[in-house]
Amino acid sequence: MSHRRNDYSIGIVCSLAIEHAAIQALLDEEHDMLPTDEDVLDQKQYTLGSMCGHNVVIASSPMPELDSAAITAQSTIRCFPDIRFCLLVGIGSAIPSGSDDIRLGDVVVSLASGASGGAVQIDLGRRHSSKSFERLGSLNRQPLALLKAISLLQARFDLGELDLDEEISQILGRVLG
Amino acid sequence: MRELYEYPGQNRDLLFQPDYPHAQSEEECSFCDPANIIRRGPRDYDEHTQVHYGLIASSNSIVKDANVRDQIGTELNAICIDYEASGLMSYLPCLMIRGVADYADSHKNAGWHGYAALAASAYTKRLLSVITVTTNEGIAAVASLDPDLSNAYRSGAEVDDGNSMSSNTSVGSMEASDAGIRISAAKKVAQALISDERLRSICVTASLRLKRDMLQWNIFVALGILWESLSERPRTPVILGLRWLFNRYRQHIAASVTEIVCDQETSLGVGQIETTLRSDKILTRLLKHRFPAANVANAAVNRTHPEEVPTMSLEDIDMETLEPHDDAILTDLTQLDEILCRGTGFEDMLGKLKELLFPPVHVLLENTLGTYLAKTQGDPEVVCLVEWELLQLVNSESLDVKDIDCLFTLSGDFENARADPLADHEIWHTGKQLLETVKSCLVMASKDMFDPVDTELKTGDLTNRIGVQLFKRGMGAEREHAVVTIAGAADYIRTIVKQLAWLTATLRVPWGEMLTVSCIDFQSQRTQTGQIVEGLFRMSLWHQKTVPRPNDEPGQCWTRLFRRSVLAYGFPSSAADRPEGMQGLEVPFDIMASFAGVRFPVLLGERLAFAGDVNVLIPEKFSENSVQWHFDTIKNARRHIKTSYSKEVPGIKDDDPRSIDRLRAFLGYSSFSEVPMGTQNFKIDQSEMFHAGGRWALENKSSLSIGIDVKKVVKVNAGITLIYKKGETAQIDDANLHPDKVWVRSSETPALFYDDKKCTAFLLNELSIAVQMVATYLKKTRLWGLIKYPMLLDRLTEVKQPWQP
Repeated sequence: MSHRRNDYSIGIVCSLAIEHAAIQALLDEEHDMLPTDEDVLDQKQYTLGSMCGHNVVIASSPMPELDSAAITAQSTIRCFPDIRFCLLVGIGSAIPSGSDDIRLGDVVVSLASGASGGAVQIDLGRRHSSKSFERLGSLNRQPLALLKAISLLQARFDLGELDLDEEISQILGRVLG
Repeated sequence: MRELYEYPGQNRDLLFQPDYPHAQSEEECSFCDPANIIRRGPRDYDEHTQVHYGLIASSNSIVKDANVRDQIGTELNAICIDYEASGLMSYLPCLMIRGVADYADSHKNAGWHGYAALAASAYTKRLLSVITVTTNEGIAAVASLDPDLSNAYRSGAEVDDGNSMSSNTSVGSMEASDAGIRISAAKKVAQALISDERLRSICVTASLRLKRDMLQWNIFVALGILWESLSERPRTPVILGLRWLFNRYRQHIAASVTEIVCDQETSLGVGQIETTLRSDKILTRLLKHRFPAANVANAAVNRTHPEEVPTMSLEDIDMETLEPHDDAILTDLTQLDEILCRGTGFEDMLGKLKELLFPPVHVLLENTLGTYLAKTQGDPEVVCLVEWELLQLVNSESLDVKDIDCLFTLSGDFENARADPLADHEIWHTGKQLLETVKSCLVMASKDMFDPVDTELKTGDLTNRIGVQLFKRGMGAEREHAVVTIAGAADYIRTIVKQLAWLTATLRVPWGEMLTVSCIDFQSQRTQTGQIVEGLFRMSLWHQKTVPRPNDEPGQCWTRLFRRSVLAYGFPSSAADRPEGMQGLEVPFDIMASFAGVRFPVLLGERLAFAGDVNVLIPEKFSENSVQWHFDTIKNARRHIKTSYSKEVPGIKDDDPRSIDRLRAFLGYSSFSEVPMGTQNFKIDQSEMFHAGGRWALENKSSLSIGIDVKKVVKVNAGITLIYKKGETAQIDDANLHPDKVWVRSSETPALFYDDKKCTAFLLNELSIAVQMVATYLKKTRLWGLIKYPMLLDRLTEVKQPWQP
């Protein structure tokens, strides 16, 4: 079955090749690339496929040092106009604190708190002399569907119905092994 | 492969004391002193992967310092730092899922990258498994309908009803999607045409529907894409039918579009010359480009006889021109024809097209932007470009125009302000951000945004801040970039934005003048309910020399403003900066005159006012250094003239020539000789002379011309040569131009010499004044012949009789 651009409703944006490969390995099915149309497609790397019934686009920039994921996400949405939302999946640095025992290998999900949309942008180059950070902006409010899904997932993790470790070891054995 | 993603083990998860730096150049921490490791207990149940929810700080530079990290953590209450989403502002609906690979300290290394990426991916998959799968049901629904075209059209018509004027302009998509911000209609049309065979049956109606939501350029884009698609697609019956239809009506469409252009031209005032000509050119070029086979010029000629526009008949069609003869195709064609011509069909469509092409600004805003914004969840970042020339600034700023989907300028005077696409630039048909920003600006300004009378600032709010920052932008030494930032409570911002949006919509800053508004952007913080709680408004100003420090003394700002044309100082932060009793928008007079479209002085009652075709500026209050102008329509002003305006204005008498000097002094000059005309360079062209709704053709030759040269020399010549600058003359052929007539005409169309690029509205006024003064003088003295400066100027000062209508 051939797919059309409009079939893809979820974008997954990575920046590093290692991230792209990891999420690509988790696709249930990989689709053929769409015929290139210069007017519509740009120079980003796209992997098309389906995951849990969703048609997803995995996008990353061939030059991560030049393009931020934000730019990749933008062009992904432009190329695949029916994308409902983008997931920015990849690695990050933890900020350990007493209240939250966060370890390497853990997963952090940006979650809205108050007015901010779960992520704020800071510019370290623009630190004021008072040494406080300048907030340049914040992420938009997240789509309701995502918030619902997150809380659902959270509940299932809390209930012990889901185990990410098991999932990961399965993947390691099945796909990457 | 697998090793890359394996769990490295807890013994390689080392969190050191923040002040303990990485020991060696070795990447891993084999030389770091274990004594500095922060002891943490093992995880229960061998669960090495946990999920945390919270704020992620997105940094544009790598953090490799535990102290900086902890500062970010405490100040922002963030739990994670990410380096990729930098620049990702509020316009994308997205979620960040990050696997923790390091602690953002000097010990960070790549050892955990694989596993962290895998963990994040695993969570992503889990997340997707609990999200409902949605398809483009709207499209599917339309497409799965009977392929019969009338059915398809019917479903299209349902979409097209007045209530469904939604922001979601995707072709055939009837469901409101989460993304919401889908306005790239032209691309949608293109994609529908290119990618979905099934949709083709409704693409015409769909694209027409889109136009309702979009601004005028979409029409051209859509038609153009339609045309291009039709010429490229395989010969399916539907395509052939559409193509036939398109060909048949192409000239009709072109004619009507040309007609629209011409209508627009005649309905524009004098101040609109440049814009009109420009848009005319653009449209013509577009037409030529988009409708290669249509003879636009012929269409323009034919527009008065639309019934004579030749249409292709079925018999004329042959296969060479890719027109069908197949019976089966003809059946479809008939249906298609019916679709477009049903009832008043096609004429209706053209009427709508016309309406949509050039709607009144308020209609445009309400219909397109209001509906859109009401449904928009995001806080789009707005970059609003004022005037065509500013595009050059954008280019020189080396903005990444590739990321811009479309550009808008809002131009025109008060009556005729309208949104224009920057069609003569390659990027004009891409990008949605700008559109959205303009929208958010304008919608905030709400319905009364075009009422400059009610723009009283809310003052006294100490939380409101206005700052003017100047900083070099590496553009060469002579250029600087000023940014006006306004931060504050929502109400305040709203007031400001209202003014600025109006300003933006009407502003005409001459190119090459000291200052130009290059971009306006607005960022807002909203609550969960979408309420805007606070915001940041930025306006960038470019100028070629340094902007003087604003004079903060009370009462000074206005004149400062005017003299320097520095828009940025126009908004006092407190009532103290404003002369007592003054209210309203504080702008330079030339800009105000441009807003109001006023071009010549009139005596209104006993007051000297400035009027245009429709509006009038009446001096209301005078203070030491400023004048408060009342803005009104001439109609209203005349109605009230016997009552409120008959009272003498304190401090000025209109029948006294000195009062004119006084007034001029209010406008920023101490005397006529200071009028800075030296840099202006007028070019007069007969084709640019407009007379309220039409061209004013000067017919005969002889007699009189009046003008001001750029060196403060007023020259009156017998004959029609206007000398404005050495070596630059403009010839107006005329005759029988009696001084009486000159006076009348000049008062009617004093904007005769208005050159949008090189002359401000203010200079225009000065020119008008001078023209009328000279005319009055000539009328009185019956003097014909060459009069040279300074004789004329001397005599002008002797004129006792004021220039009265």
